[in-house]
Amino acid sequence: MARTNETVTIIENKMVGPGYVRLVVDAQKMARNSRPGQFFMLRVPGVFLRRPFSVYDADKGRLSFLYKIVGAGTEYLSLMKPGSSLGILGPLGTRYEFDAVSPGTIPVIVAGGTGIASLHFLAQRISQSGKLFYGARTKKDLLCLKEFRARKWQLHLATDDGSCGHKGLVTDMFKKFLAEQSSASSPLAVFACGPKLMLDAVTVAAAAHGIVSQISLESMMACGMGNCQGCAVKIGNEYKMVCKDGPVFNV
Amino acid sequence: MKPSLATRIGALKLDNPVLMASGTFGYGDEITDLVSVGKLGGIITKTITLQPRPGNPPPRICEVTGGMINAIGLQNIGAERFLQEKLPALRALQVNIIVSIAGNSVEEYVRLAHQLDGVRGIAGIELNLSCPNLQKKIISQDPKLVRAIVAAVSKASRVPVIAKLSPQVTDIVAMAEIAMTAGATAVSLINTFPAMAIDIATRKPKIAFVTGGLSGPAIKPMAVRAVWEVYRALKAPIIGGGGIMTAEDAVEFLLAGASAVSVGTANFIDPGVPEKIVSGLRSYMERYGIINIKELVGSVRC
Ligand SMILES: Cc1cc2nc3c(=O)[nH]c(=O)nc-3n(C[C@H](O)[C@H](O)[C@H](O)COP(=O)(O)OP(=O)(O)OC[C@H]3O[C@@H](n4cnc5c(N)ncnc54)[C@H](O)[C@@H]3O)c2cc1C
Ligand SMILES: Cc1cc2nc3c(=O)[nH]c(=O)nc-3n(C[C@H](O)[C@H](O)[C@H](O)COP(=O)(O)O)c2cc1C
Ligand code: FES
Repeated sequence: MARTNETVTIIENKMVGPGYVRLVVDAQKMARNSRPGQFFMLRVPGVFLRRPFSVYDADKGRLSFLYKIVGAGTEYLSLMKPGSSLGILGPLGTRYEFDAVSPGTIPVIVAGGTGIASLHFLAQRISQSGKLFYGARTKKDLLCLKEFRARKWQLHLATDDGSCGHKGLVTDMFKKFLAEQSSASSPLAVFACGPKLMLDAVTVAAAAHGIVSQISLESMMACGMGNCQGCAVKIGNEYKMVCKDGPVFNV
Repeated sequence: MKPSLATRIGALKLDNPVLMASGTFGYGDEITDLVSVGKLGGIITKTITLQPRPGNPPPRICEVTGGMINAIGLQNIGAERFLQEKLPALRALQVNIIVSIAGNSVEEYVRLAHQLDGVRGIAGIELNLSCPNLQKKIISQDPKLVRAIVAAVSKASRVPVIAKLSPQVTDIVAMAEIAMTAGATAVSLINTFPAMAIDIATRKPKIAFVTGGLSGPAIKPMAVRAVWEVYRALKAPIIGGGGIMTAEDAVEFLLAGASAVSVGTANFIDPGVPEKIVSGLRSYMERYGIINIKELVGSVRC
């Protein structure tokens, strides 16, 4: 296991959208060891337990996260200044398996809200371009489109209020896309991260087309490494730990 | 002179008083990349039961001011798999291993004790009498049951038997006395406090099991008090714990009367904490000119 428990220095902690912050830290070894889908436990001053965040990017010794301010922990985190130090533990958990994405296979990403963070990192590491299905509340909540466009991904966007792309659920677009596939179409590799309901819809739709999806789950966490058994989710009829058996599961 | 941190719980000798608390670092074999387990006084394993247990439905944990609430529900792989799959790796760590056990009846405790008796590498048994997460009432609230279990396991076991008590009793001293007279080598004080938290937006409990056990710094003063009460009355060997985050916290427990301390929730915040406590205890002793850590035990000036 390549995880470590370190104190790192914040390089950047900047608003990139309404309530969204990109955090960049200097962490040579951790950046090198991180794989798409994995996460870190951040020790945020002011709250008791560490908070889990997916790797958004890892490049040139810098490790980045993209988070939304939703409560006390993320609020305190957003107030931290470049130059200050932060305790972080990781990389933790399973990763998206994309080595298996053979040349003929088309990678398909389905993202909802901040679920885009880990999938952004995945897209950075897949050489071929694919299709991005991405839903958020409004146009302003759609992040990192530029990066996906730069890598020649085809974008299918949805917003709750219709301010950009399809008005409604991103999963409706994804289902429609699947329905249009024929036996002659290229095989698909599906990766998804977002709200639970979205993931359920994605896996059901993909399974109906005989496709195994790799989905990234979230749950409340204390330790982040399989020690407390607090982050259980039911997969089949068994409890699995999101932090250790996941966060990426094949379903 | 270099201070000596060596301590003992009955016949069980420890290089230093810092133990990992049950249920807070898995089975202990999986964090060796982050923690030098061999530098600790010992580890108390996650509680095991005769049969594997699936645990409670999620969400199982939530954060509260100064701590957390958990209702894991004793999820574990069962005694047989523990002995086969986990113990060999633990043994290789060269550290004192205290196995925590729980059952639904006196018979289950005894069968577990028999199963563990004589197994190489098991230095002691901790009886989890206080898990508040089983549907039935907490065992530690029933004096007769406590006496019966402690007596039967002590008879069935050749290694020290430690009774871990719940703080949720009218008189913790009376309970500790029952455990000690029934044959326990020591008492472990204390397990989590029954607690509850509610999400005011959804009006649902934050934990699916509704109530759970409170741990972390929030419970420390109550834990210190329990240790002091029991030490004052019984002078029994005590493993003290509840909310220990730093060496200073550990010293408080020793002063109150604990011979060893257990570190639980702090492992989640930083897996390096137990080792820091060991070195912090050494610094404390050097600063105050204390040669033997036993001098500290129960030395609070009241
Ligand atoms: C593996 C994993 C990866 C994650 N990656 C990201 C990411 O890349 N970007 C991002 O913005 N968020 C991510 N999250 C969610 C993030 O951890 C939570 O938003 C954060 O912990 C909230 O902390 P808080 O103190 O601000 O909120 P709190 O005040 O603790 O809670 C506010 C709200 O957030 C929910 N919440 C709290 N903790 C978690 C948690 N651990 N998981 C899910 N929901 C939680 C609570 O139920 C509540 O509704 C991830 C979670 C997990 C488990
Ligand atoms: C997630 C979690 C799981 C626990 N599991 C067990 C257990 O299996 N058996 C047990 O005797 N105590 C268990 N405990 C209690 C701890 O061992 C310890 O007694 C308690 O948490 C108080 O100490 P602390 O504040 O240092 O954590 C658990 C505590 C937590 C937080
Ligand atoms: S967060 Fe502790 S086991 Fe997953």
